[in-house]
Amino acid sequence: MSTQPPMVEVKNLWVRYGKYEAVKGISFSIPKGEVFGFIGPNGAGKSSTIKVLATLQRDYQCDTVKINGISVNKAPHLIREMIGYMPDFFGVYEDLTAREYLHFFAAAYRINRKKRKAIVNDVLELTDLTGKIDAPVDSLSRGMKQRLALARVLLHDPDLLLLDEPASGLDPRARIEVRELLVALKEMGKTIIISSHILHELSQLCTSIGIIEAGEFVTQGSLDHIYKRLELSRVVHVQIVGEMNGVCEKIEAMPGVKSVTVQVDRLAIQLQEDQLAVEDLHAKLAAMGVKIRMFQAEAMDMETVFMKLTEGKTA
Amino acid sequence: MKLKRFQISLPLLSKELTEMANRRRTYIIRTIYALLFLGCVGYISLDQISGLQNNPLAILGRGRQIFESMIYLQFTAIYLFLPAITCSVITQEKEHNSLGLLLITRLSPSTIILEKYLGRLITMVTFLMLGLPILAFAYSLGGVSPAMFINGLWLLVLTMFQVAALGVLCSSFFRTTVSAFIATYVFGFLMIFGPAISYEMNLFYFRDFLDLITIQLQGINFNANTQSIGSWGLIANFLQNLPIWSNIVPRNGELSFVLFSPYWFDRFSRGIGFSALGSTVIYSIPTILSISVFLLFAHYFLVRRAFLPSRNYLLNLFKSLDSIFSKINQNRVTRGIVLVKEQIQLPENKPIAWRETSKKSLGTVRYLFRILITLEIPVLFLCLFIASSSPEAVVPGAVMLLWFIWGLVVLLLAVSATSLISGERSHETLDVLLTTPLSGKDILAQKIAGVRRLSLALLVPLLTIVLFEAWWKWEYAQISPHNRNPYKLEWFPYLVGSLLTIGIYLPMLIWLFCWIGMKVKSQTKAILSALGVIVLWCILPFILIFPVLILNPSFNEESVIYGLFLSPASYIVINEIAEFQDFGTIWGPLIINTFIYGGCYLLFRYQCHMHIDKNLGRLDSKGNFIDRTTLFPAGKQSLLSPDQ
Repeated sequence: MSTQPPMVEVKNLWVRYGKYEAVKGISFSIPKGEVFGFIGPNGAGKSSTIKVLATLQRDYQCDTVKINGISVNKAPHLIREMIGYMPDFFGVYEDLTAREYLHFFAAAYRINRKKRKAIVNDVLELTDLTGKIDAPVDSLSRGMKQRLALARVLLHDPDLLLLDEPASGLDPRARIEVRELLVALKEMGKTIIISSHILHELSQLCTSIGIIEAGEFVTQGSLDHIYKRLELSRVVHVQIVGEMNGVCEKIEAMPGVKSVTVQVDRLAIQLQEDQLAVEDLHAKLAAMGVKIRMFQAEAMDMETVFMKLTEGKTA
Repeated sequence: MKLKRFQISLPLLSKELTEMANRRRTYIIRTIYALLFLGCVGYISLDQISGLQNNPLAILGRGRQIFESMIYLQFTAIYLFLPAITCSVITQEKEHNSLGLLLITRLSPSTIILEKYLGRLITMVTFLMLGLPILAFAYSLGGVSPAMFINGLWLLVLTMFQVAALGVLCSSFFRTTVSAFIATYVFGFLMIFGPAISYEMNLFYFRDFLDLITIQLQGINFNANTQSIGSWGLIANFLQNLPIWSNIVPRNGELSFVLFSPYWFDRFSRGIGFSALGSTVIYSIPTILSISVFLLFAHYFLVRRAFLPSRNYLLNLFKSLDSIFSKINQNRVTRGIVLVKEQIQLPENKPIAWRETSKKSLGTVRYLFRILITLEIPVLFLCLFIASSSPEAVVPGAVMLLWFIWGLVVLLLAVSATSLISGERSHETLDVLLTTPLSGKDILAQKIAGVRRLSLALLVPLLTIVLFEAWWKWEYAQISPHNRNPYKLEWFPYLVGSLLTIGIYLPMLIWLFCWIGMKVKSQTKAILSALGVIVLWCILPFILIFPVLILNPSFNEESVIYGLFLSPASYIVINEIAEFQDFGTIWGPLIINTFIYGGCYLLFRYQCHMHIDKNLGRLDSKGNFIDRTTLFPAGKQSLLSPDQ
């Protein structure tokens, strides 16, 4: 029985610009149908990695960079047929109309002439741009241009979408529209690599993420896995009414409590969540007879994860 | 009370100078300029120094020639380089979207203009100062009068101010550096030679007008009637009594050079004392006025044209012409008849070629036809005009016209061919194009389709002049078969040489410019580099020979005469003026030139084709394209409609 290779397989990838090392030996693998969120501060090496996959980076070293089992270095022409690349800028010809723009790329992707019209209509409908089919590209709003770029990416029905900051510079409405479009693509089974700074949106879309900083992965895996890993040392903020005599020591002595820090108006209790769940801590405190005014476990969203894991370094 | 210390703050000038000092290329260019300049002056002085080995003291008193050659070279440098230095002074800020930030500071528009102006002037001054050692040397040899010295420096400074002011004006008016660059050179040319050309051709009775003024001024000198009544008589009397008056009265046609300082240097530098200086100052007044006008207009346009949207002027011009023509077409006779209906066509198999030939102003047939008509009609008219007025075998007017058209061809090809790739890069569309399955060679071949069309349109006026000249030589040979220079009557070699040159040079220039466009990241830099490269290529062989001649004054120039053809301009010039005597044959130079530039054409074409992916910055496509459906199927659900 033959097993299908992962859609993307990267091993020990290095990208250097002169002496500057943008990517330092990262490795990752993305199965088919996954949406992989590439997260990192500016200059972390996200775009360089995506460019390697898009065959736009000539100078790099690696053990393996494969898409759908095909080496990017050995058969870039085949890779180009399989990918849809959207850079972090619009990349649209302003002297064309939306229809001309899409037909231009349909011809560039050698789509059968008889099928082009229907395909263009399909992608315009999907991106909700049917009404703008004959509008000059330079008259479209930023959000529309971004959707047009997405429509262009979909023309040849690629297996892998490489989206570099697709929502950057868009207003909230346009961001939501782009996100909904990506959700639709995800449901179609497309494999997507998406880099973004808007972490909240990635969390709703991605099945796995990789956080990159200074050219190296800080962490990668499924969101659940990363959350769980970080939640192992979750902080719970507790405000207690009345005398605190001996309370801190008692809490610190509980199994599963890593540390207790006395702050101005509260205690910050760091838990080993696999030994003591947040609910159990609350029950134990109540059993101790302390009067609890506030009990709040620190939220663990994508931004917190990002801030916890990165230090703001660049390569 | 604490007194505030008076301070002059020039933040913009400081920034400009700091930037200039931080750039490595400042020092590289300065060094190259110094070498070229010293080489040129050395070469020009060579003849004087080389013949004096037996009596070194004879060199004393011969500083004038060295001084004059230095001054003329400095004038040339100002006219050639200063427009390029100044034309980007404001457009750069516009292109980087930083002009708005400058305008909201406390710097007034006039301060911005003046500081920017000074910044570029200082740059040029640093170049001119490289001539100081030669100046000192020439002065120490003797033969340079103080009047000549002051005249030279004054006119150099004035020319520098004038050209820089024109550059700043164009920079303030235009949106992009490229358009400012072209405009500065075109307006500069018109400013310097426009009046002289108008005078020669008596355009709009310009010659009559200038002659009238000249006669009036000359009349004051010789016929001024001291008894004349009224203010005119008083002025005439006053002028006549001025000691310098006889010196400053213009000769016929001289007023057409009123904005061209080198002419006045030539006219007055050999005079002595106050008379020469005073004359120079008087004839400098129009130049000073032009500087003020340029700067005032630069100030006027700075804010008004600070936030211009991106526009294709040529395309807009054509579109407005379209609307005028369609309005004219709506009349009782034609009733809006359309012979060929324009259809909205979509790309079929060659999308890039489609865009280049149907969406670009310099690639569309309709617009190219208009360019052709715009060039061809004046060319035909001028050919007829020249034919009716010239009694010579080599028609100077036609020669000049051909060179002018060549200049225009180079300019248009430089702009269009370098923008093929660099334009995509500047508009951030290249990466998107490179991820399509089109091979690099495919992209290049399609990209070049529009420029090919343009070159065909430009070919027509070139051929018209060449055919006219060949016909003229043939006719002349029939009428007057004997000429001191028999090569002037050789119409067939002239025709073959010209056709071969055009046939090779046009594609060679396209590939060269395209190659530069691939190598240089920004569109503006690519165009400027292309123009710089072609100018340098044309003059470099002449400059490179200087060190050889300086080191070995007895070097026989005849032995390297074919080295002339290392400059692509040489054959065009020699063929036009039929100066083949030194070669002894008319076909030898043609064969050598064809061989050199045919080779260059193949080399540039090869460089573009073979390294296209590398130059574009993507992985090479070495294999053949295979059907992607044979690969692993990945998408679970097709995006396309079920019937696709």
